[in-house]
Amino acid sequence: MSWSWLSISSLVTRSALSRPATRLYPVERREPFRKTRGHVKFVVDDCNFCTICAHKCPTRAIVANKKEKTWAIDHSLCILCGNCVEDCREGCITLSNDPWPPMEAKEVLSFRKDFELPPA
Amino acid sequence: MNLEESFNDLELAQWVATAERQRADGFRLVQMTGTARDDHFEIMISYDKEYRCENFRVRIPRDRPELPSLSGVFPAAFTYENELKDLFGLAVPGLAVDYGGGFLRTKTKIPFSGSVTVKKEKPGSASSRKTADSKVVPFNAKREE
Amino acid sequence: MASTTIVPFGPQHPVLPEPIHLDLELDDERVVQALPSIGYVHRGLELLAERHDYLEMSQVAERICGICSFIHGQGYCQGVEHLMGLEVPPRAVYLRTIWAEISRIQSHLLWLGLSADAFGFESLFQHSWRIREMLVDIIEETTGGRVIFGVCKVGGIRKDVDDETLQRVGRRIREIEAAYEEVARVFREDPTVQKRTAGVGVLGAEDAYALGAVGPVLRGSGVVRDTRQLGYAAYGELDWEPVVETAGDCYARCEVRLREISQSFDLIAQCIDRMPEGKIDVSVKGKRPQGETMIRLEQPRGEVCYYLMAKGRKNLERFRVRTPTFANIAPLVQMLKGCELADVPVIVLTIDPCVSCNER
Repeated sequence: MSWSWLSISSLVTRSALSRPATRLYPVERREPFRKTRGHVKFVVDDCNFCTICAHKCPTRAIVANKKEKTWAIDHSLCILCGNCVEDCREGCITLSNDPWPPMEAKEVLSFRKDFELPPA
Repeated sequence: MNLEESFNDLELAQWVATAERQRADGFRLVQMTGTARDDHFEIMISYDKEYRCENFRVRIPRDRPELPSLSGVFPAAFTYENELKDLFGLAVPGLAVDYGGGFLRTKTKIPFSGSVTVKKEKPGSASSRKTADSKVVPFNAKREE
Repeated sequence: MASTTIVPFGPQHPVLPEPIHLDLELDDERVVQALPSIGYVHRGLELLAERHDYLEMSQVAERICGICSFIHGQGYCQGVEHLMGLEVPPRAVYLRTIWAEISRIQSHLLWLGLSADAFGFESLFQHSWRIREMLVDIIEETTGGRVIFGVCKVGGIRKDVDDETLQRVGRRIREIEAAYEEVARVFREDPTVQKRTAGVGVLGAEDAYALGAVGPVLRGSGVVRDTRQLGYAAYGELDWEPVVETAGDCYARCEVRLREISQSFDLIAQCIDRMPEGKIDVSVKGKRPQGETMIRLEQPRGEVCYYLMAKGRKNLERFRVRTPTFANIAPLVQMLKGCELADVPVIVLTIDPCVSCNER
């Protein structure tokens, strides 16, 4: 059995003298990667309430209603699979890179289209 | 990719004899699994030797769910047999280590034995999502960061 | 003959964050017999496959386990693709191989850290996880997720990785490999590691084979068997040999994982060099899975089996997963016989138990 303590002591000494590998998180944030699945973003003005996203959602986090012109997403159910983003024909659902902050309770974000622009 | 894997049907009486033959031929027990059908259970066992997999299947009637144990042939079979017992409610006479249904401590006893019932959830309107413990952000509002 | 005592071990244990319960029958400090039982987190995912759309199930399959998430998704997709008779484009196959190898490295590093923690080597634990973090960053950069990759779908992959990113990942992998070699040296040379693992929990080659051990447990006992040799994904076209150690003790299993990490770095580099151009997916429109198949893949923890059966409907008739930990329970019982009570956590950890993934 070798009695070499050198390998761990050199590793520990070097890391003691260098900058920490961690970040002071809420203060210091890393730029999110281009592909990071942060959260689903919705722009109600472009939506035509086709409700494809609600049908494609595997966890039923999205609820859309054609008649009432409402659209809601439950962020605690959303698994960020991106199905809705891929299937949205109007481009009103996008995937943002910013991670959704931790939730204390179920967070349902609802939208309603109150009026429509008259056709130009 | 090598996918020439055989699925053979067996009589229940040959179950142990096949296992002994496979063991003598130097096969290794890969897995045992069950499937619940309307009138019977299908139990499948897989053996492997040098990356070649052989699968055997027996049918067990629902009114007499008994599977002879392979513990004497493959000692490792006890985990699979206890699992079958706990999930499908089979009786396994001759089991070497019998947990008596306590190997998998599932909340529902023998959860896989019945036929599958599909529970339909009807998505309601957006406002119906609100429950007592949920925080619903008002319409068109941005979440403060 | 003194009477024996029964000591319950788990499911809550300081060194073992996995919900497995062991009844240890002790004679003084020596284990006479160990009886494992599981089922604390059984989720019934196999039944879920009979209710959900087969396309949606790929996302559920990925969530069987948090550590080997990608390979579960890959196995499910390979199975369904086989049932549907789809040919996945080579670029998707190579990217899947890269991700599978990255997840193997991060899983092994996670295990190395946990085992260092189990024998009380805190700084080594932190250093292993520091290196793992670099790999998780690569995962996030290429797929968008840190734990759940979410890129595997039936018919290919969801997102392509451009060549520039691949080259950057290739360079980064070399840097990480250099940093990893330093930590690996500690595992190989440090007397603390050897004292706790060498000669502990010995499992002979014949026992390992007869009890159906898989993965590093089997290879640590000197049996040459790596499911990647089946040549699924791109493994048939890459140059590699299974890693085998002969001692059969905890140290050998540790050494197998250490060497597998180096091998995986090499496999990733090979994949990046040979990355084919072309499409990343094929359409599954109008097709339904039909037939039955048994798919076997090599996970970080060993061989995993998927049995899929479909009858041309939207959902599968049966989806069965045999995870490597389940196969390793019987060998674990054998290893625990006759060991010291203090060695139990180390031995249980060397099979790399993933009990939650065990209970689909």
